Amino acid sequence: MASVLEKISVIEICHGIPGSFASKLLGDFGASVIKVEPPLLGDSVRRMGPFLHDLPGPDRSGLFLYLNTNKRGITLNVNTPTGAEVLRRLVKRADVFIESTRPGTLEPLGLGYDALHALNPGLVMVSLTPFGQTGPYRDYKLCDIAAYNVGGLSMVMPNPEGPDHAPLKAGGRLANMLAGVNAANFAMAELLTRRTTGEGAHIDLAEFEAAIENMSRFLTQYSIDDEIPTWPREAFFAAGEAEPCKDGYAFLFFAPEHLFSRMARLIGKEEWARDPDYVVQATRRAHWDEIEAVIQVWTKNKTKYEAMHAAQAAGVPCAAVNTIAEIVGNPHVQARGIFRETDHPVAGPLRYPTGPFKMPATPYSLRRPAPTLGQHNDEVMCGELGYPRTELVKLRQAGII
Amino acid sequence: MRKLPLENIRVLDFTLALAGPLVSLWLASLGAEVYKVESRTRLDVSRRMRVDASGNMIPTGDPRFGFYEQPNHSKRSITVDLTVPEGAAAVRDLVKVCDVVVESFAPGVMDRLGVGYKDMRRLRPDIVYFSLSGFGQTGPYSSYRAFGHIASSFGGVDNLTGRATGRPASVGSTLDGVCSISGVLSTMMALWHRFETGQGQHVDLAMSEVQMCMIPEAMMDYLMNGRVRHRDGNHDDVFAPYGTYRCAGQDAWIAIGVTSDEEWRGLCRALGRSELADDPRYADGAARWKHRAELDGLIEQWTRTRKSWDLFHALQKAGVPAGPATTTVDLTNDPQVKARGMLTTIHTKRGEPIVVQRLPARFDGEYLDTPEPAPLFGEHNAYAFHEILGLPLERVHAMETGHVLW
Repeated sequence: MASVLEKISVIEICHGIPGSFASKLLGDFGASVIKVEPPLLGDSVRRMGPFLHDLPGPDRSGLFLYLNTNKRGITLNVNTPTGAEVLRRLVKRADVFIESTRPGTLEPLGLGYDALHALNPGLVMVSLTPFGQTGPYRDYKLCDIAAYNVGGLSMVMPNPEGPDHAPLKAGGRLANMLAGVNAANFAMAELLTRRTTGEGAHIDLAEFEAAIENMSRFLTQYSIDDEIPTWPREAFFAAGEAEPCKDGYAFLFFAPEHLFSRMARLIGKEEWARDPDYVVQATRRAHWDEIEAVIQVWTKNKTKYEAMHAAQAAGVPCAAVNTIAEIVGNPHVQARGIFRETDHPVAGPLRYPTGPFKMPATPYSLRRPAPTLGQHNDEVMCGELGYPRTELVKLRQAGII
Repeated sequence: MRKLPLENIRVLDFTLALAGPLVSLWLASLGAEVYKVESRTRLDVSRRMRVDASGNMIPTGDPRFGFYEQPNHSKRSITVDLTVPEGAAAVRDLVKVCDVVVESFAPGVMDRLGVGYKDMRRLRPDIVYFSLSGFGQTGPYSSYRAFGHIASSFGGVDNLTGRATGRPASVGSTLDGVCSISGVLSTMMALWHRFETGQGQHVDLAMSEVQMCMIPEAMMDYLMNGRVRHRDGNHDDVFAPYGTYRCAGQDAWIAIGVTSDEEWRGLCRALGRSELADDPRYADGAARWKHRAELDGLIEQWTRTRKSWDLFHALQKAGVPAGPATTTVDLTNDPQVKARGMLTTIHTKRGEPIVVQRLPARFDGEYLDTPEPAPLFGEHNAYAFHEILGLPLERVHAMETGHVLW
């Protein structure tokens, strides 16, 4: 079976989650990726948990191990002329270069787009920053929760606690991940264009804008009807909540009228299924406490999976609100082969989620685990760029690798 | 005009609602000719229309037609009743000149209608056929009904969302977008493979599985350590202080996250409490983590009497990652948004000005796409079946009145 991006080479020099996720996605589907990290400390994610067995170490961060599958790793201090020259030589022969430095920092190092484009006119360079290369906020900083909020996502997620409580962010670091997928998408788009033009481009991607994209339908609606700018915060849809079961929660969904009727029959309320006051969403809200009380009578004496299977059998969308343990142990997830194991020289054999989609002709492949720090200095700098071993010694002693 | 990656690509789009249409929206924005297949027998709920006894499309009175106009801009519309044999046959004729099919029906539905992957591949062997579902095309739960909330529940995100002491809060359609853009990536990769080898394939995206890939902190803690992580509101598992704090006024908030000692010193300066930078209770990340509840209280005491936007700029000036909780009003009027120009005004087919967002990246300084208004219902029947397929116009009209192109 083929590896879809096997002809593509990527150089990635990012701290943090977004850029690492972007190059991982390309690498997971066949691209040759070299991750460039600062000497000694490496990518800051190496210092973030969770750690294997709670023992910290640069090769024991689960987040780093996941985000950097299928990459080789070198160290390089690109703030030195020699380091910058090595990077230029790498980028000259690459298809994609992903970076997330503060706007304006690469040009003085001779690593700006103009300089790199002159060396490699087909280069696809992705600059992924909080607010983009231009504009009044271009030097502003973001972390995931700040991006999630400034990008408009927190105010469009219905919050069961209501508007008197702080808007919730989605679990995990979703704004970071969104930015990463977008970066991979735009690199892929330019690779496709390059097939006919032969030219690359400088892609300027803002995490802020990637977040906004996720909710821009609300901006469109606001431009039509400025009566309802914040309705998701105050609105209540009576379409379903996580309901308590014997062992956790199950989520039943019934926004559309026909699904509400089905759900009503399932929980023994045939009369609601035929009553427009309950069926129609606009009027259903007034009955929510009553409806939810009966749903909870139905869910409370079942496990979350008993609820899920019974509801689904009756044609009502329902899912167990899974913990990670339940996901990993689930028969459907196992049948789908979501997890794949590979060995790592320090962390040992570990399972990783594959995905995020299945391409049967060109599947996800786990060819190598995340690199140890500088693991491929020799292979890349000596083996491919032709530096003698003695040069590596000098570079290490000078703090360049 | 900048060349677009998917010029000369034709897409047959069977998706409805939100997650699927956002996939084909990207394809249209990247230059593809996207034919959205609609029908009076199966209306896209986001059109906010219903069908009367004579088959006319009538607005339901729900004013939220922006939720149709944005996800479906730059597409074309054909109407086909797939449940009649002539309808399915018409679509199979069209697929011969298409490169991509995208669909988001429950697994099995497209096969039953005679327009599944096997049917389409017979007519167009190199077809890139993209399916989006809740649980995937295979496996014991593949026939289970799914919406966004179902995917985010099963996929593990919901259990990690909400306060520690409260119920899981469903992210629901907030995360449809991450599934959609993942689908776009897979479709582009499948097209790349087809350009390289001439081979198509059936791409299978399960929304719940996309979610599972987006929460590595929790995933790896379990896979490495057997630990089941629990939700904890707006807190982070590594950094403190980190959260969303109340500001002056109604429903105003600012998110702040300190990820280094330098940022902590910046926060102390912004607070006007430089002495806190040397306070051993907060001097390093471990200490700040230990005293995070205290820090949250200290910070909110400061933020609650100040405007979120003033705080945003003051904190950024001090080098602290921060972002106000923005509303549609805020974003529409935001100076950065305006300076960048990602939002643009177009006119719907009925002449109403609306704001839509272009794809969120600049290529050599320019956003890629030039949005066109979303299509009228069935607007391109003649174009698709007469101009492209060569059927006589009378035949197309007969198919419309005969409830085939319906």
